[in-house]
Amino acid sequence: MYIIIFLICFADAWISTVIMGRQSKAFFTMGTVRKPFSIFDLEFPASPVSAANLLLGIGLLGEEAALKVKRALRGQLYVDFLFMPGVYVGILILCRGAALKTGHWPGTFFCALAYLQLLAWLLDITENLILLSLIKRPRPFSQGQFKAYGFMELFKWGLPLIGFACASSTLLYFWITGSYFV
Amino acid sequence: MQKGGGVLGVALVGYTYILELVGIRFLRLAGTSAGAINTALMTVIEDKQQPKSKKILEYLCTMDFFSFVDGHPFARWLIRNFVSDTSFEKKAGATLKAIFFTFGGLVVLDTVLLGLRPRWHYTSAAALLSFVLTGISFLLILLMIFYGSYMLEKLKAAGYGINPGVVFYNWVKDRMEENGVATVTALNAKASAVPPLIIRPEVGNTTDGLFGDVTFITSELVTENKLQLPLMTNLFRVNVDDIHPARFVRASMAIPFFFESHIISGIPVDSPAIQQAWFDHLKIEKDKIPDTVRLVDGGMLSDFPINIFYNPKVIEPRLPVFGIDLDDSDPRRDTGKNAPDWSLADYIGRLFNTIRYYYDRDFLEKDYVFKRGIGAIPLFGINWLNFFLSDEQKLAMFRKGALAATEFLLNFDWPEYRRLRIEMQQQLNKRNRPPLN
Repeated sequence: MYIIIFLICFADAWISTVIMGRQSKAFFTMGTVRKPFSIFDLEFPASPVSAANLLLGIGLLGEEAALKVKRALRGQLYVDFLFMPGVYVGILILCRGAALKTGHWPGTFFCALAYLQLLAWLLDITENLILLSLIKRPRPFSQGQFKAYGFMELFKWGLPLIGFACASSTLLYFWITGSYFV
Repeated sequence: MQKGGGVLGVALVGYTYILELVGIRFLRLAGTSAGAINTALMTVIEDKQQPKSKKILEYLCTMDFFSFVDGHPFARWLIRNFVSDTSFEKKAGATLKAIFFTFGGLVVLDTVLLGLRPRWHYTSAAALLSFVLTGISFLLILLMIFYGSYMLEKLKAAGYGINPGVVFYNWVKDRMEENGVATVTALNAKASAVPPLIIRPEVGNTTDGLFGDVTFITSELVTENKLQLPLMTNLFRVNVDDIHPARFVRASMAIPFFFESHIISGIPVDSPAIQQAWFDHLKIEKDKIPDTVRLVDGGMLSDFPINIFYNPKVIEPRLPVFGIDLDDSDPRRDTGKNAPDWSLADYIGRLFNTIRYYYDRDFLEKDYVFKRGIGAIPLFGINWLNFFLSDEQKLAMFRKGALAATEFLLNFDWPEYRRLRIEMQQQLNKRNRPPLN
């Protein structure tokens, strides 16, 4: 059953990624000239003002173009809400599987890593809500907010990446050694 | 004429400080890149009779140069380390190699431990740990590749310039405005002022026709031309005051890749005035006028365009032309013996320098007397992109500039210079005179 849930999560994440990829092609902002940007520019802004400047720059593209970009940007954030269960539940299942295969203290480690994915999910939801609020009303972060945002991104990305790397390599080991079932 | 050279431009301030100290003032000013910065400040501060270098030095000492490096924090970190730590490149290379060798080593270890597992069961735990470490190192490599390609995409989106140059532009703009210059008209008014001058009776000439101006040199990539600003501002706007003069300095110091190019868009190509300007300045027909230009460091084409002060109609110069050369060449420079053994970096550097210096060298070879007005400041060993100079380093460069100016003045012979300029121009005119039929 876990495998079926994992496959559903994988499909959800994959389809959402394709949709978000298409939406990101519409991301443009105005600096000296019109230039593309990535969602990572908002997730990892270079300074407390850069995310706000980028969003304000969208407004300088002209009303119609700005509307198109903001619609695509909001759309990607909404699709991201659908992407989240796919990726976090999927990694949770991988970590739980690794926990059951290993047992003892490695099992505890993987169990903890599995449930930390829920924290990462919560942080991801928070990030999306912050970004949706900034799109509506672009404003710079204070220094404290900028640091806090940075830590949030670190955990939001770090937990699932470490979870996926550790769990998948562990399960790969068991697969290679013929221990297929959990 | 003040040469370009990144942060080496601090030495220019020392040079002009000495010239001003002995009472020399400047009717016409020009500069490229770093030279454009000192040129701009010398133009806008007070009027032509007043010395400016002290105030400029104040500006430079209170300025955090590294704030000009206003790109992504990762890029700033890389630049800082590459410039300040000569072994950084080796360390970075060693770190990358270590990561890849570790990954490779772990893969080998995985294989070995898997092979030993049937015989020695206790190797199972080690094999599992090895697999997990392999997964983490693989993740690290993937993250590095992803981050590298993300930074390359950002670089591409920024027109292949690491730093936007916004901090620098705002700094120059603020300096100009605090000295009463916010428009091209105001800049030209200060630059064109001619103080009351008296010609010595023995010279037997007048001050008629003498004029002041300022020129910033930039390279334009769309039409592949050298531009002189503010003279050519009417290429971009019917009303020249629609462009802030700080943009000329920003354009002149737009070092390729280090800074983003400076782009001027929205050129009204259908305007008859614009079309006339493009034809007058560059002989470009109206159907070929671009609506956007991309400006980079003037040093790409002409780092030391002293020729803009050359007027072939003037046989007897009333004023000398002074040039300040920032010489960061290695005194042990290759005299050609090692030419076949140059590294790839040396080879590409020489190719580039041969092309970009040729234009200025050609003028100085033909009009050799101008060399007598040029003082060189020896600056070997200082990295021209070292934007995080300490105050001690800034003062050291200032001192070098001052010493070079002192030496120049002790050796400069104005009557001899004047005599040689007259002789040179007479010879050139004779050579260029059309043959009688």
